[in-house]
Amino acid sequence: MDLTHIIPSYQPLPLPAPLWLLNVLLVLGFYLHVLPMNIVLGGTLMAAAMFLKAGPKPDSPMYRSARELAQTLPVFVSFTITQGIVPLLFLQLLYGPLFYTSSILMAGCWIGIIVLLIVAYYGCYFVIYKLFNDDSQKENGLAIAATLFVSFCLFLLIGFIISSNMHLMLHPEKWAEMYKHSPNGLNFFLGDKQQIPRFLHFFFSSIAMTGLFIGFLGTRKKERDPEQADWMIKKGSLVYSIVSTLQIAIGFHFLFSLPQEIREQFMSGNSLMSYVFISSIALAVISIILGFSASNSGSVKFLKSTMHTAFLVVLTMVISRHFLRSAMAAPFVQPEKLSVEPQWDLLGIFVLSAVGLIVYLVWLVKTVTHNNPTQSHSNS
Amino acid sequence: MNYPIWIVPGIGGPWVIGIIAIIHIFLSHFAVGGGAFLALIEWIAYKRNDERIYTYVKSHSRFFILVTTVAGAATGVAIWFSISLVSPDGTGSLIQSFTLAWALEYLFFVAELATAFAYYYSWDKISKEKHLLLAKWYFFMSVMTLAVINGILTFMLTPGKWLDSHYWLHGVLNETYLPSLFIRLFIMFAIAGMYGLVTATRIKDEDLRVYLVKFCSKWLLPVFFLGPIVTLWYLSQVPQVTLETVFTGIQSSGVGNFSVLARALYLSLVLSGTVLLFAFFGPYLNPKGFTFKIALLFMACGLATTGTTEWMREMLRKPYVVYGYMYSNGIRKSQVEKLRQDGFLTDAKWANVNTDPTSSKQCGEKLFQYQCMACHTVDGYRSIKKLIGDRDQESIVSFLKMMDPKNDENPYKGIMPPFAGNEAETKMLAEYLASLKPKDTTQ
Ligand code: HEC
Repeated sequence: MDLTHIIPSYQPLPLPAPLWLLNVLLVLGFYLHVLPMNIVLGGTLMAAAMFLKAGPKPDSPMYRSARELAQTLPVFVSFTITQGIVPLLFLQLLYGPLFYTSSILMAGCWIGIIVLLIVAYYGCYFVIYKLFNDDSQKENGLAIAATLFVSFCLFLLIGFIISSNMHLMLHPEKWAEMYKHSPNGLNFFLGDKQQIPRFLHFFFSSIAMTGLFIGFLGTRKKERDPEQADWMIKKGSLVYSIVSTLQIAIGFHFLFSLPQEIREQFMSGNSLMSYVFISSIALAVISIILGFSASNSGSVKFLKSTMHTAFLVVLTMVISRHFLRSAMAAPFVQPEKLSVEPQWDLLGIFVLSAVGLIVYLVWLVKTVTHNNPTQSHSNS
Repeated sequence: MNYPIWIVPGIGGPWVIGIIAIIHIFLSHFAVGGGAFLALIEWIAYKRNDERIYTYVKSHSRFFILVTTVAGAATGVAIWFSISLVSPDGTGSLIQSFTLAWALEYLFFVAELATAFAYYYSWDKISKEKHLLLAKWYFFMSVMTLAVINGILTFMLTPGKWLDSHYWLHGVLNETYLPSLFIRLFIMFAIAGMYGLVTATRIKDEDLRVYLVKFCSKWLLPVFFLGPIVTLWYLSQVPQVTLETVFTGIQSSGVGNFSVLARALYLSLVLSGTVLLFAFFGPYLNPKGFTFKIALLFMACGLATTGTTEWMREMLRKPYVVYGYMYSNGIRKSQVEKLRQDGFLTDAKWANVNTDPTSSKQCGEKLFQYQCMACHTVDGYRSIKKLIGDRDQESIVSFLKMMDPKNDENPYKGIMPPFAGNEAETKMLAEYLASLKPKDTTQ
């Protein structure tokens, strides 16, 4: 089926920087979005589950970990939103013709994300400001768990809507029919067999990463409260390793849901796309082993190695995902055909500001942690 | 023609943007003005070493964090979502021209948020001097985000030299950049004062409350004394034709003698005046009697003023998204001549999807959606059914013919784009529009 008549054209304006750089920024931006996003999604669910499981025992390590995890959530939500700006910007720039169209077709849900987001976000704050008490004996763990669970469901729904749109943009053959069904944007897309395994892959990744994050929170109290620290490191890395093992199965299920040519490209072993993909699997296996070691020994060093490897796993997965999208979109849009007129001066300002930002953030972290002996300096 | 049209019954797509934008502006202006407010009041607390003021700043800063980092940030994303749904071509053009400027704004936004959290979570944990320093940094970062985004916003109204050069700096540092930056800063201070009133009126200690209520009301002063001057400066930089539209009005609009723009301007002035009187007789002269409920009411007043002012700014730009470059309906000015010769539907992408090319009424409906629905709805906001009134097909044809880019007499040229279609399409659109009338009056 020829679909060119339905694929909108790009604006007749040049790209502001070489395509490879824009792709790098897209991937990097998405990576920095996914990391906090994992904690938001996994954190609301795990904190809810832990509050529920710990029961009315505020002194138990589980309750205390859940509490600590919940305390951090708003900052992660905020950074997830902020970091979302970057991939959204470059996605529009490079894949606008596909992305705008699919967003319009499901406009109702797409705009609805904002409402869900605001409610879910205030849910996290509600827990901290209304349900938490200076005296944790007085807290109602059940109410806390319930509120966090509601926030979790909303975040999950947001993820699902975004995921659905990211699929719909790659399926122009469905567009005309959908537009006929509702020009008001009241469509939803579920028609792709990759969708569910892919979504599960994301979802389990967020549980695994949250496990590691709990472990990381543990490493920061090794001196002050070694018992609690030990519990957090051991349980956190255990969660990571078990869930990630499961992930390998889901990942392969996802891989086999892909069109054959693309799957073959991933597994061929003779292209960049394939190298990245294969190394991501190797790294995943290494991180799982490291994670089990951390959970046996409770060692800070093992936990940190697991964490750093896991960051690489996520990065290589994100790059693979980008290759997947480029391959799927290639029949419809070719960003490489757009003319390029680099805005070097603005790019220079951007790079300098980015360096400035990093310096500033380092200073900021130092400033707020300096007088405060309860926090360590290892905020890497 | 490029994209499917998102049809929003009743209010129409543009009002989806409008509603979100008004809320966002009210929240995000607080994020910037509120930064100055926090810094200044913390400085006062520091100078006087007054713990009571510190207690107030602390509670106000929680409110500040809750409002700006959640609703403020989320509605900012919502604006992006909504503009790309309602005018994808316009959004695409802006993004393609200013990707890196947006990326730059993002950097400052990260710094702003990180500072906000650092500031909020470090109360009582770091020295007072350092904490005050964080407040100042926050203000600086938030002003920087404004300084960047203001370039893109003003670009849309006065793209200036960019039209020829397509050079980003020409687009960003345009004629209205500076006056707009100042107006926004003044409005931000005013809004910060209003939010300050909301939290200040809840203080129990009467002395302190009276002091702070009066303090907050002073934040409205710059906008009232300097605002009008800067507004005149701003308006003087706006393309000529829109100014004409303000002052001459459109006699034939059938809705009265005022142009829409003039109405927006007067409404905005009246509301600003109300806010001024409210502020003067309320918190300034009578800080004791100014209660929390009145503060909320006052804030609603502020919201209405912001709303109309932003609406007026949008009206000024009509019929363009990017003045002189792209019309509100996503058609570029440079395309119009060709479309009038070769026809709009000939090369259109989505306008032809699910359309029967032999049905002139269906084609007419598509023409309406693609060329008029950027500002009209069928029977909701700025209803075309009402505006067409009793006109029959023939008089609609002559109305559309008048919307010719070469017709200098066209009284609508400041508010409506020219009709971009050929003869046959003019008839098809007219047929569709005429068919909207109740049955008994047709033909
Ligand atoms: C950029 C926005 C915009 C676009 C696009 C637009 N209009 Fe309008 N139109 C307006 C405004 C503003 C008015 C004035 C409404 C008022 O007075 O309340 C108006 C008024 C009208 C009127 C009433 C005129 C009168 O004085 O009786 C008609 C008829 C009309 N438009 C038809 C159209 C048609 C047909 C199209 C598409 C070809 C179109 N408009 C596209 C903004 C627009």
